[in-house]
Amino acid sequence: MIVLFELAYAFAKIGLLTLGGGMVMLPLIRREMLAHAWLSEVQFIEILGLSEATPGPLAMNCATLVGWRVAGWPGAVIATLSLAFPSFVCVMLFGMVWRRFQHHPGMSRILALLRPVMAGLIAAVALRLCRVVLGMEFEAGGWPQLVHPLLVAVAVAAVVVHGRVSPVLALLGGALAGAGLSLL
Amino acid sequence: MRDPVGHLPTGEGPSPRLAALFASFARVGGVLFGGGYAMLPLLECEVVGRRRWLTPAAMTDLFALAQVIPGVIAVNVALLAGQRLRGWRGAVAAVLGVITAPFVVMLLLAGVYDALLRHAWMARVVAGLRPAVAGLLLGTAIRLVLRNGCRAGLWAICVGVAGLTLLLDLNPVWPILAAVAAGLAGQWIGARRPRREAAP
Repeated sequence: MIVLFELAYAFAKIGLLTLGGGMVMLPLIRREMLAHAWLSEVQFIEILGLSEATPGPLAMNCATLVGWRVAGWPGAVIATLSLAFPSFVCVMLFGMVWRRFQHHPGMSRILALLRPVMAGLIAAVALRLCRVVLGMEFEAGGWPQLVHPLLVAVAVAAVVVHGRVSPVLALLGGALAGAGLSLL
Repeated sequence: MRDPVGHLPTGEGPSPRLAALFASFARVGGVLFGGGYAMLPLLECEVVGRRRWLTPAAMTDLFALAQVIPGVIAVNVALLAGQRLRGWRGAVAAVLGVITAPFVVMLLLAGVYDALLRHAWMARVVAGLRPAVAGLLLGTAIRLVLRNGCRAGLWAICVGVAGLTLLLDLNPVWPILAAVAAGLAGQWIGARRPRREAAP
């Protein structure tokens, strides 16, 4: 029972203290997990791997799995909802102020700057992922190994920019093409 | 094109039913690979394109706002969109939608995941997904800049933020806070200028 409160507190704290999304959260989650001895370093990395391969926000998936490991399915529910709860409160508070400042010119200035910043952050995540993928492939087989993942990434990016095909199809098509190419 | 003032337009159609809101976000949550940023193209397809609840500009702005709110980006976007469309009930419906499918998949796999991770094909699935996810994110970033018009300043900010984040391993908090601070500063300076000009 106590452990459920501890889970709720730990994940609500993580949710409240991180600005900038799940990637920023991961070091915090790792620290909390190790501090409570809920997971070992190796288990944390394994959970990350599984979170990546399943749909859904990475940090959310982490919370679900950690909660489940620590306290069964009640733990999974508590940990997942606790991580989202601070955001819920913030959005509700934000919604109250929003009516007043919605048409304030300062708001549109902030939004006008946030849009390219967000594009830059997304590009950074994409390029970091490229670096990881290409680094691993290079270690596995040198330059020729890089051709297929690069082809897949560029093709999916082109399809998404073009915007006529559903991004889900682009993603799955890219993943299948990548798997197919790697078998050749 | 987006409206020059940048106000958040509300939905275009009638306000959606809670069940429909839940269903739409559940569809997106079920295919959300690659984190919160990868959610933008999916939502554009579902909420903007198929359901026509929000304009593309409104969706982009909700996404920008989601950066300034603590927590997981995907959750913030669902909460903001749900709240905009149907108040707090909408926020709850949307966020439950987005976490339901991943939650179920996670719990189904949780029992077998030790065995799963030892299988080589699991590694191959992840390896196959990664370049595709990278492409999806890259395409999303390019589209975001293109949509706002190909102005040099926007590209400069985008490339600058991406470069700094990569080279310095910068925490995304800083560019986000810098954008908010610069917006407020610009507003403050802009508000002072007309008064000065009006003075004799």
